[in-house]
Amino acid sequence: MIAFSPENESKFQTLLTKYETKRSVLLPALHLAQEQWGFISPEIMVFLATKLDIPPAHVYEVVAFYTMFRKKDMGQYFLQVCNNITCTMMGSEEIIAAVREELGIGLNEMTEDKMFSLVPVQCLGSCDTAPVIQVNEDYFEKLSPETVKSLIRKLRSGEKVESQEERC
Amino acid sequence: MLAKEKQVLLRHIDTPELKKISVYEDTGGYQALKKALTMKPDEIIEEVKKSGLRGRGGAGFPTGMKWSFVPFNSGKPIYLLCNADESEPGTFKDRVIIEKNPHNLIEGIIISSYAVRCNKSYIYIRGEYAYGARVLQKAVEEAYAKGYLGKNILGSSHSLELVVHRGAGAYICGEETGLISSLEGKKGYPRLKPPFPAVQGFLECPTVVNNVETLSTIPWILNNTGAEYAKYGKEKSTGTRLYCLSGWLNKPGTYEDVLGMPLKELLETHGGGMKNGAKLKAVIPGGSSTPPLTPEEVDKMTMDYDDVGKYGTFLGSGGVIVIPEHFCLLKLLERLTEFYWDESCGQCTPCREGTGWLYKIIEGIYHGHGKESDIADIKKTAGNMMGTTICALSDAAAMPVLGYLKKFPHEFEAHIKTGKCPYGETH
Amino acid sequence: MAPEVKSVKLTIDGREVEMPSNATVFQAAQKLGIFVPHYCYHPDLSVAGVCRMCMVDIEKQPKLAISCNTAVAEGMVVKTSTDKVKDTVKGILELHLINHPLDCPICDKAGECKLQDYYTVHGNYESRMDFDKKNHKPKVQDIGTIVLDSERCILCTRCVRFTAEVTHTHELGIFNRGDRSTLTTYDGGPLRNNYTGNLADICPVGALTAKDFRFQQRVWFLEKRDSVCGMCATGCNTTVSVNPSTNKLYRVEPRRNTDVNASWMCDIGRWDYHYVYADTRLRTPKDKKDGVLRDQTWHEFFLTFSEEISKAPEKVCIGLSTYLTNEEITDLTDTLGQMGVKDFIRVAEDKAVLEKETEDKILKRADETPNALGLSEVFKSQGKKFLTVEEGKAKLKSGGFQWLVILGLEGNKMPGVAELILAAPKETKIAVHATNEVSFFERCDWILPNVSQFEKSGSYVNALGRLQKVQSSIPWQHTSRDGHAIGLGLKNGNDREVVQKNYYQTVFNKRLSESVFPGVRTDWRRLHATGVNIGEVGYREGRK
Repeated sequence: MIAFSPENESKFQTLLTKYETKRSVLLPALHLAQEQWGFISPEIMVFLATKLDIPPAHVYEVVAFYTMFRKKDMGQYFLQVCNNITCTMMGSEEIIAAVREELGIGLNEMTEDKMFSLVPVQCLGSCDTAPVIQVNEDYFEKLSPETVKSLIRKLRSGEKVESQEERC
Repeated sequence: MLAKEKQVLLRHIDTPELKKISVYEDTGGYQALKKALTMKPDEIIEEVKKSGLRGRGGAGFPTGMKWSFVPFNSGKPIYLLCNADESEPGTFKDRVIIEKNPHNLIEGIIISSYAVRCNKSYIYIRGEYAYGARVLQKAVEEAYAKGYLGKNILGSSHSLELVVHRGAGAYICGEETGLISSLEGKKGYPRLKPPFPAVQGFLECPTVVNNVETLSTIPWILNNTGAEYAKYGKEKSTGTRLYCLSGWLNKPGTYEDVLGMPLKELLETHGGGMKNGAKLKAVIPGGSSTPPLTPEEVDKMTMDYDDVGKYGTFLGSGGVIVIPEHFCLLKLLERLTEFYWDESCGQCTPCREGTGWLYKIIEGIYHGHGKESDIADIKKTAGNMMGTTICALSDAAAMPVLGYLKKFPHEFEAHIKTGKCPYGETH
Repeated sequence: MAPEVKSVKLTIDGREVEMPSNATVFQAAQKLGIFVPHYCYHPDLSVAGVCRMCMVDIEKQPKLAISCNTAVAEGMVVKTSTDKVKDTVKGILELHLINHPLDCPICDKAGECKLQDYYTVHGNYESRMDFDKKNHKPKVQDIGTIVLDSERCILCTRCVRFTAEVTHTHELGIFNRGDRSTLTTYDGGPLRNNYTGNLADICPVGALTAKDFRFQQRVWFLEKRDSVCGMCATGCNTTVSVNPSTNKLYRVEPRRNTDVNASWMCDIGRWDYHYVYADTRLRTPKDKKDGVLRDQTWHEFFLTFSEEISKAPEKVCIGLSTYLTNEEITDLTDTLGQMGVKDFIRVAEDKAVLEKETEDKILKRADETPNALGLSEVFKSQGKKFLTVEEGKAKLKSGGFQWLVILGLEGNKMPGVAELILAAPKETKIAVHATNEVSFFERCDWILPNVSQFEKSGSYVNALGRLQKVQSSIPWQHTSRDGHAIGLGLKNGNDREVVQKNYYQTVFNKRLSESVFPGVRTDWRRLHATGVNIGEVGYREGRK
């Protein structure tokens, strides 16, 4: 039987008090679920449907509609490379090539050790610091093939990488 | 170039720790709110009307007028939704406010909520701005603690609950009715109009949706009057705005300056001119959906609502993308059409099918498989997509394609005639 | 705060029309008989406005507008066929077809597909499509009673709205976005509601087809006849499709009646017709000789029973099924009453008949027979009383009956029948008149083949008091006879009169319309295809 951790359950209960309808809680609840389980499985969708009194079909529709909800395991570090206009102009293709070379995986693939996966994403709203990559929730900006490789090496070795909070 | 101290939005942006409430208060923060609460809501709407402020999300609809469409006595709750779903490629201005000066936005929201008689407000922030959401969440908590949010704000009769709500990756949620659908926990499908959100929006209640930059301008207007704001810029294009400069420039970044500023000046002063002295090929003036400008047009155009129309384009979201001579426009279009194809919600047939079709044709041309007939195909498909759908995404996808075709036909021809990309891209 | 509804006048294609102010331009055009192409609009579902086909030109508006979501306004001037409209609709139609398979010859919807229909009117362009550029989605998926072919789907969302707004079961959804949007059941499983057949009806293309009908018959071989469903007391209005060359029934579909069933019907009403062709269908009268059933003739039945009844009418108890039409009941009660029969049982499920509400809050009623109310009305008008099944059982048990004759049974369900048969003491002989044989008929001494509701004509009164026409679509099967034939046969020794054309109409016009439904006061031909309420008030007043 699937359940939120006690901590997440209490967050979920707080969410219920913030919104007018239970259905509005779906997106934040899915974020919470993804935090706990890493991706959204069919069981989780049914679990949330029951918790929010909405038809399972609606949860499935929502999960399939929004790109940030992962439908399968994406590994510990989810590398999202922007390949929209400005990033492409400023070298995102070289960034993707560098990641592929470093990790030996292609787009939409995961390394065998489940540590990294690589996906292309649309504009991340960081064009002035292009090219940019989002690793899980943190942005890494003004990258070059060398800096992105060194970032990956740091992540792999467990070396400290400053979070966005710490950098800002 | 607008002097720092005259700026409306960014004059304190470099103050360390501005995102903390105490620092914000030290810069004069929350004074406008105190003043607003002594005024009548209609007086605030009047002040905003006088300012001439127009929505900074992209559509440029006059803010005061938008507020006055709300039926205040319908007996239903009224919602104010802050659109922080900044997703138009080339746009990153709201992010600056959110991450560095969140209280400016929150103060704007509180004042605006008082003006439109709203007691519940949401900030809908795009899911990717996870850091921004955390900054906002913290700021909201600070504002509650200080009595700027919650019941009887600063002892007045006005109350406001404010919730930070994260999106989850869908460009279409930046469209105001798509945002409403999404906030209701649904797919971000835009809705038919009528009914308009002002009358029947979030949960079928009267709803105002305003952009981050728009709302963040409100405190300044309250502090300095609408008339003072209207002195910036030009008639019908009053005030300042945030320009997001990106692409082949020496100093890409977010800059505040007046509306009506010559584009050339914007690029050369704030932008620091072309990177490595490269030659300019084209400029996208207001986010990826706005048709491009040729270098000659860049020399002449000023950044105001009227002048841009003369060049067949729009001010849009303020995202100015500078394209150098060496960058292939078909490659750019291939990225751009892929974006709209990826982001079309899929509801309306013309957009759902048209975005995919345009992408396939452009991709073909870029990769050297183009045919002469493709040009007519593009025109026809784009034509069928314009003005035929619920929201403007379809137009936003079709318009720029037609714009490039009109202003840079030789790039298409070169690809089609030689069967390869003249810029030597390897495929 | 609903705005006040006024009446407004507008002009469409030069013709003026008056509409309530809450109506749409689409409805106004419809009222004028001006056809506006559409895929997503459906009169009994919410407006989606996504197919964009119903574009019209409205004076003083720069852009074309979709008529399904544009409210009418005083003085509005609308044009539906300007060049701009035609070009736009043609362009949008082309976009509908861009990723659609072009294999109409192997699609079961061919002949009633709206893509085909509109292409011939609005399309006729040169194809610009390059086959390998098409998107490909999953083909043919089994979702229970319905076959889903996502590749043919044009995402009009009618079916999704149906499962959300009508059945509230929400099995269907549109998943993913853009041109990857795919219609399917969320879990890939089957549909779980009793109204699935409607999905095939409302699908404008070949994406949803009913297994029951799929590839059974090309639609252009079929003729349609208006009728009413007799599978429950709601009486959904239907059209029955028959191949005239074989006189075989292939499909039952709902016919729109906003006072009864909107555009819907349940799967039971739609697909239970198979009993008509079942192996259990009774083919000939039978009687029991030395404990064994043998084939008999109707003539023998008429002679035997005329005599039996005349000899001792008080020892004959008649069960009248509520599957019988008002006309049949009138004929039978008249004839048998004149012969001296006193005891009539209403053969129905007593409790179900009293239920005023539908059992699923949609259409289906607990009373799975069509005419319980009609039977009551006929009895009331004749000043006669009937016994309920419960009362009938008691009376039968008290003994003294030589015969229990149950007339007008249909299908396999036969509410109340088994109970009555069991209640009859050994000395009481039993005759049943039914369409299909069931195991408890072993106890019977005579078994008579009945016609089904698809073979007979007449009227029913549904649970809400609506008088509606059932009309035969196929001939009487085998040697079956209806209630009229039995009435006449018992009276005259033969049923020749019943073969006279429209005998039931004569019964309706001469004996029902005046005395049973005086509030209605109409003759058969004038009785509208969507029926009429016998109406508590009108009915009583008319009776005085």
